[in-house]
Amino acid sequence: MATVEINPITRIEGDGRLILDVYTDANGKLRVTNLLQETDDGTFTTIDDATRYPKYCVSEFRGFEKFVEGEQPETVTKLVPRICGVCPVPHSMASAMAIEDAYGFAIPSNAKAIRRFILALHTIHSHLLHLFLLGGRDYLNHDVIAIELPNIINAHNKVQTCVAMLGGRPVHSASIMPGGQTKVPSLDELTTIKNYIQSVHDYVFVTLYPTIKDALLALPNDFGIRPANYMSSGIPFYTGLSTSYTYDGSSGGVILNGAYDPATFDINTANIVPFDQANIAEHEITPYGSTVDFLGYYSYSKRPYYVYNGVNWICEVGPLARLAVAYRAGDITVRTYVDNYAADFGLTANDILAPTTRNRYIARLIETDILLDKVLGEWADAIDPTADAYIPPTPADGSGIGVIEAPQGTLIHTIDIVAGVTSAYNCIVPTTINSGAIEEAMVDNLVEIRPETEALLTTDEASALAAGDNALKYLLGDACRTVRGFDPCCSCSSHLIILNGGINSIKVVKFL
Amino acid sequence: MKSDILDCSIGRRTFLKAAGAGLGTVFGCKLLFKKDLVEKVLAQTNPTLAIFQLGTCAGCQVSLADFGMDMSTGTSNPTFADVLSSFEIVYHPLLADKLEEDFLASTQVDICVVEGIAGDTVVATELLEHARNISTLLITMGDCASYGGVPGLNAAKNLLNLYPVDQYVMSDGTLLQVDIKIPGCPPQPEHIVYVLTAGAMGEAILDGQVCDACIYDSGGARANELGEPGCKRDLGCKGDPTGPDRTTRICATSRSTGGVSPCTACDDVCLGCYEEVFPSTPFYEL
Repeated sequence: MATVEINPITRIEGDGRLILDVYTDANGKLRVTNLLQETDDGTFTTIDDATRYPKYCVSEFRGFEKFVEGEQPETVTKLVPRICGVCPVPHSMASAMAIEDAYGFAIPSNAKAIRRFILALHTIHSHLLHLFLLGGRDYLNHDVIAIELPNIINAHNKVQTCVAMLGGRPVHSASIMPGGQTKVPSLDELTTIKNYIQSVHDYVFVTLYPTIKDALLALPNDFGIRPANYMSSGIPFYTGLSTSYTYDGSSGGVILNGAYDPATFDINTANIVPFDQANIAEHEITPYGSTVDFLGYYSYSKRPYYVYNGVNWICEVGPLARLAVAYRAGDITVRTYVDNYAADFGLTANDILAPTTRNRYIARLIETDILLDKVLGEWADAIDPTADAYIPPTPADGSGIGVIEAPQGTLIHTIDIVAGVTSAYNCIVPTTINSGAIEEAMVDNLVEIRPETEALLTTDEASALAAGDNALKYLLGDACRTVRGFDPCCSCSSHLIILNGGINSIKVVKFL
Repeated sequence: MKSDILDCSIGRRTFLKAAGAGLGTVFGCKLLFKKDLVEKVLAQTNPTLAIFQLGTCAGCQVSLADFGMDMSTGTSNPTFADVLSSFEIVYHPLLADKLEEDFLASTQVDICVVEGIAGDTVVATELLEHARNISTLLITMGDCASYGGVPGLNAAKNLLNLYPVDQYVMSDGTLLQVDIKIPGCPPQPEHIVYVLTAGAMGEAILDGQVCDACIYDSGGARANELGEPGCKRDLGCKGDPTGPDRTTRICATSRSTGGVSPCTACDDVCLGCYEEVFPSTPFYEL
């Protein structure tokens, strides 16, 4: 068996690697083998971690869920953002929401408005970081990136400045607390934020837009394909299917449409079911505290899946999933933006919402546009600069859950509070949910750089590639580009829980 | 607020000149600083730089990428791009397409920056020996790498075997020698860049208390609850000038925090994240 190990996979958050079994295609190029075998009924595959390929390996583990036990709940809200420095804001919010839920406490409506506003700003920061710095080299000409870098960083930092105006600083912000938001922006601050955001909007969606559009349309659309199974809570951005768990959004939905077939895929009739966080189960790959060996216990990430009618579905989360679910559920804003972008790109909504690497970038771009417009308009106007946003909650023992859409997808924190301290904590994090989807999406992808991608390289890089630079050869291959398309975060995804004897029973997962 | 920022877009030549001039005043407080090593690094015409992560949230690297952000103007100049152009990047998985094998094949690097906590469940820990052996300067960025930080709670609670970088045992039995530690969770962008450029860009960490740059007077009215104006010392604020965990370093910078202590400016408390004992829990007295 020929294997290729790509270590580390670059331009993602945290530390991870790929271990791929490969075959040689008709053109003599290496492609990713899928060793998962279909069973007799054609739908199920036994997941055996030792023989499972391709492998997306998260190689660091810090054990947040365990070490926050015994801590004051409010303190936990300030510890868990350290799970991820790229998306600390949603971690703070999910934690605060879980504690508020456990306390049985309703925060002021102004706090909800401020949280949605901060999270939108934060999501714009994360998307810009990915579209231009992390994922940018996968579809944009590298010379363009080099020329635009100061402007890109300037735009990104403007957004970070806005987050800092509401939370003191952009990474591990203050102000997000169980009970609400300790900081209410003044009218002047809101005006300043709008001015900054307008300039970011103009830079990305006026100045750079033609370049981005051409680059995305030039990106081959034949890789990163997986079943059209999407999950989104929608919270707090989009309306969804039902109201089983609401914050300032909806309960989103879960599209369980099975294998993707371009000829028959229709987002308007795709099978969608209500989102219920209680239906998410998790498969743990490496037992708590043990070391990875990259063969059997190959990743510190969990692999969550959605259980519906007794079937376990691996679902994708993130901007593409959010837009697909909101579009299918009838969110007016999302339908308008997706249809408009489709028309401008000369595509259809079905083309744009299909599960491919290209579309994960397009969706991230569209969502950035939506959020910029919302921040400039109704979501800023929903904040009352003169009203309170924080009320000290009355602590109480109990269990709580917080569900929110982080930039990378659905994020869930749960807490048990006993005798005033944290007795149990769990995080279901976007990249853990995506870990199974990432592995599915790499199947049959080219491992090596493809000729079309070489046009993106600078002259120096092209020379290095010709001279045998393995880093460029593999890290710009389709398999790596597929992984990056999910904007994965290894820091976030290294989460384990101790299951009470249930691991071995979780062996059957939907894989179409 | 006192600061010696040199905030202009600079070329390599200016960088060397400014760095040379700033050598005597680099790094206050408790940072380990080896003048001869910095001088040796600066003698290189194009210092090589490696940045890699252990068990981390990558927040320090995000903070570094935020360099230039300015609370008063919203405009960034210089930026992280100007910092990067002063170096030859040999390994930086977050932004550069290099494989670990490239790093392991390199025999010399001028500056190596390590982010995150080391230990049994962090595979990249195995890079530390090589990193130390080939680096002129080894810098730990942020609390996790420098002191243990938030995941350092594992040691206190006897859970996972995780430890700061300077507790890594080299193959000869000695502890890994860290040349410079940058505190903060995360460190402000200016503080990281000040160290990387030996004072040519960014700002030094100033000795003092978080109270010194707080928007509230520590001797003035006290807040009874979060979200309320006033000194937060009764709510657990680590800026408390009389408290057991009182701060010894000023986290504020003139640009990225607008010259004020950022967390108390939001009517939240200071968590003391620039201190070696961070996190000292509980954070709140509610």
